[in-house]
Amino acid sequence: MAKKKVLLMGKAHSGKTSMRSIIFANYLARDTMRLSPTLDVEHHHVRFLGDLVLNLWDCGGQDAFYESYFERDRETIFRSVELLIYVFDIESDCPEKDFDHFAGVLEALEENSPDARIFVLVHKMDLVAEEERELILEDRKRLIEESCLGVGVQHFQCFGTSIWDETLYKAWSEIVTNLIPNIGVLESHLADFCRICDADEVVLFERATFLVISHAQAKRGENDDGSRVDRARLTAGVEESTLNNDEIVEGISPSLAGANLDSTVNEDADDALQMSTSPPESSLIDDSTKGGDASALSPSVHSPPPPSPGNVALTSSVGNTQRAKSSAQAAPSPTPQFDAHRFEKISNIVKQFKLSCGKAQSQFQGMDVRNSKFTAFIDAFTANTYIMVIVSNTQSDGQEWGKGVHKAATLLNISKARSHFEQFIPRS
Amino acid sequence: PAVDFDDPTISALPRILLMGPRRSGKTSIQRVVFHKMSPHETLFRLEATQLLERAVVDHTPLCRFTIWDFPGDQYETLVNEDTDKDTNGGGEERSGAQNNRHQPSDEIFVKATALIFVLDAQDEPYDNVLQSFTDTVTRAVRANPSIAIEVFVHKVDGELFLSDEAKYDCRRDVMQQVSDELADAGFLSHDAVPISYHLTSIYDHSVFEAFSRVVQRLIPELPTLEHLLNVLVSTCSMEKAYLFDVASKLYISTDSSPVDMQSVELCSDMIDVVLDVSGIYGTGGIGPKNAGAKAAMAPLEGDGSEVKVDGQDALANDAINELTSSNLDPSNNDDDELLGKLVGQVGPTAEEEANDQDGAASAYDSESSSTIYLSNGMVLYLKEVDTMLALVCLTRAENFKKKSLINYNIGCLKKALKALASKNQATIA
Ligand SMILES: Nc1nc2c(ncn2[C@@H]2O[C@H](COP(=O)(O)OP(=O)(O)OP(=O)(O)O)[C@@H](O)[C@H]2O)c(=O)[nH]1
Ligand SMILES: Nc1nc2c(ncn2[C@@H]2O[C@H](COP(=O)(O)OP(=O)(O)O)[C@@H](O)[C@H]2O)c(=O)[nH]1
Ligand SMILES: [Mg+2]
Repeated sequence: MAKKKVLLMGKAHSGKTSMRSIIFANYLARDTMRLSPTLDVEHHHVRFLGDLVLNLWDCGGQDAFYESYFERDRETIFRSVELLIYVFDIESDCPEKDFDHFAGVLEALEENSPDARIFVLVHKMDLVAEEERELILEDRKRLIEESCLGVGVQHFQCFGTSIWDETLYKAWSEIVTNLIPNIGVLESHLADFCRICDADEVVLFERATFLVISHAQAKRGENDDGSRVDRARLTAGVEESTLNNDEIVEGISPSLAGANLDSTVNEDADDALQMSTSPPESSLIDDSTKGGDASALSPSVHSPPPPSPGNVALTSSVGNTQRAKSSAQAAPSPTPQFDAHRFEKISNIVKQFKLSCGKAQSQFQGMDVRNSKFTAFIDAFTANTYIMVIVSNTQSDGQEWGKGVHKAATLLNISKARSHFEQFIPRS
Repeated sequence: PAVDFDDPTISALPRILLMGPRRSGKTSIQRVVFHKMSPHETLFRLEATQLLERAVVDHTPLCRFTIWDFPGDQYETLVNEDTDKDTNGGGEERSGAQNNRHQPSDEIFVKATALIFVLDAQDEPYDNVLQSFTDTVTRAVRANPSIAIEVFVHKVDGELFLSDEAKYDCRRDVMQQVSDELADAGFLSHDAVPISYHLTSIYDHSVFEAFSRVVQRLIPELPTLEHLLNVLVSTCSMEKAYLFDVASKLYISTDSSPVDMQSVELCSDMIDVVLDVSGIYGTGGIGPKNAGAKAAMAPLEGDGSEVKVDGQDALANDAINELTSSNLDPSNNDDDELLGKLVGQVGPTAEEEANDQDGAASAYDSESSSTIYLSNGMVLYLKEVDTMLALVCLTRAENFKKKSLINYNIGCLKKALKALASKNQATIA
């Protein structure tokens, strides 16, 4: 278990404690109005991804404290720092002094922890009118850069933040992913998973904070392989199963009460899957869960025995026959361009909902959200993560039968990948 | 786009008046509930209202009305003077002002459905405010005995109202003072003027809850809606079902089992999740523009069997009859008859005119749905049932296994709602 020392500094009232409380202690933004000023240094140990422990030094920002930070406690404070987060209040009444302190901090850090990574947050951006934000932020960044270069600091990252919107999650997500070892391995596995699921996008969140730790996007145009044929056959399989269900529906209509029909009316997506694909799949599914190494998941899933409609078929988006009909509409559209800020937005959205569940004495375990264009699955994943899988609905020709199956396949893939991924979630 | 408030279809809509002293929070309430302004933004984004501001709320066919936000210090003059004071104004409403100018101001109450009086609970003492409130009420009720009077005891948040006790105390004081004042004004019995009191704050869910209750009173179909939801809940063994206007997150109806604030709040938060996530991923360029409208005609989506049901209108119609009549409470014969007729109206016409309004642009479309699994064994299930209208139900996971049955029944509900809405449309036009 590694402890990483993180310094959180900045003028008094700049918002350090607020941010920390929201990200790590489940505060609501409006609860921060009740926080009292930080005196001296508060130490907080927060767990991230299970056994990564961040040792947060929340340093009170009143001038008097700075004197001791720079003099008496200089070494204690600035020694063996992994990461510095320096917070500027955009509405500061005395920016010159902020910059003095900032320069002092950088100097002390260079001296004691030359390898520390540096993050500068220009905070309370919500107080700036939206149209001016970019300009003002750019301006502030320039000053910060000058200040850094002045003491010989080359590498740092700067973010505009506010506790009132998703920018907070963006910045902190970058900050924490910097502390996770070997994140690249995870990323590449996530990319594989994204391809296997035929998802548009897969995002991994840390469980407690809901910060994004990794994500992968589909590379469109790559999946023009034989898999579609299987999908077409699969659709046929589902058609058969709908036949069964017709009977069931007719069975319902006279009474509708239905309690005793439970066992027959079982066309929950999972069952549709079972029906349509029954014998060959079950073995396939087992294969990939057993596979211990990195590549096990992909090959077994990707090259099914030729005669059977394999798992790939389940997860690829458009069948050949369907494509033939719908190509005019579906073919020219590449992966849709999503909002550039979507990750932090999702973090924010889901975290808020998580807190709501907490208020209702419950926790949320998983969800799906869909409309005619997409389905999002957000599910508890490994012990310390949640996953989100985005699947867009490329069928525009009215053939909706595949959807239930696709859903089942995605859920199945998620649950299969769970144990597989456990080993790639970096530990310290 | 300018709204013509003289347009008969708009002036015929139910009217909600927001009145109360300056800075009591009227505009904030309106912005937070109907414009998704975040509460803390009201601190620095709102200026004192100078002129009457009117807005149309028309997200979903069953729930349409106008809101009249009065300037804090003007509402009194406006109420108290029969002279030709310029009661309205502000850009788009000029034409309306012409009309109203020479009418006695009591006219405002005659055509109003509800009067919400917003009182700042953090601004004691209330004596003066309550006095002007009783004046207003007296006038309003004389002009329009059927007007609904709602008091929002507002801003019950922050240091002063940390405990529920403090809030209840405050409400009790206000109620006591009002009834004393009303007695002085000559309304002797309390029932002479039925007044509802709500404790509200824009910083939590309470203002949505209160506004929901106000809005529910405007909906003539409410008993029918409640009845439909009762049947759905009992047919599908659900715990609770709500119909939400997703744009405002007000619930316009629920089944008749007791409402638990926590569950409403969770459902309402779920709507946020659905709209926000759909706004990010569900607007992509893939669907052709008419996909929404086309899909709107398919009341049921997705899994296997439903597709077939979808094609069999006759069957589905039977099912509505089934859904609406089989479990009928015998005392509810009126509804029964009404529904019988309504069901008869369900036909292609009702379906075809479905969401052409802002359907294509919106990420909330006819196939919107969401399922959330909670650790306490409950499932939240949301499904689109009309333009910007969602059924949100709370059910035990074990009762959620027969999802096709649930979807099927929701499909029936959806048709019944469409029929109700089109009937509603017909009466207005
Ligand atoms: N604490 C608290 N403050 C609120 C609440 N609602 C509104 N406010 C604040 O009250 C102030 C006045 O709000 P407005 O909405 O402009 O009041 P108004 O009634 O429209 O005022 P006029 O337009 O002048 O009549 C704003 O600073 C709001 O932030 C609330 O529920 N709690
Ligand atoms: N408008 C705005 N206020 C903020 C923001 N972040 C924090 N605050 C407020 O700033 C005040 C001081 O925050 P605090 O975290 O105690 O500052 P610290 O002394 O740096 O720890 C609190 O009242 C917070 O509610 C922000 O992003 N925007
Ligand atoms: Mg106002």
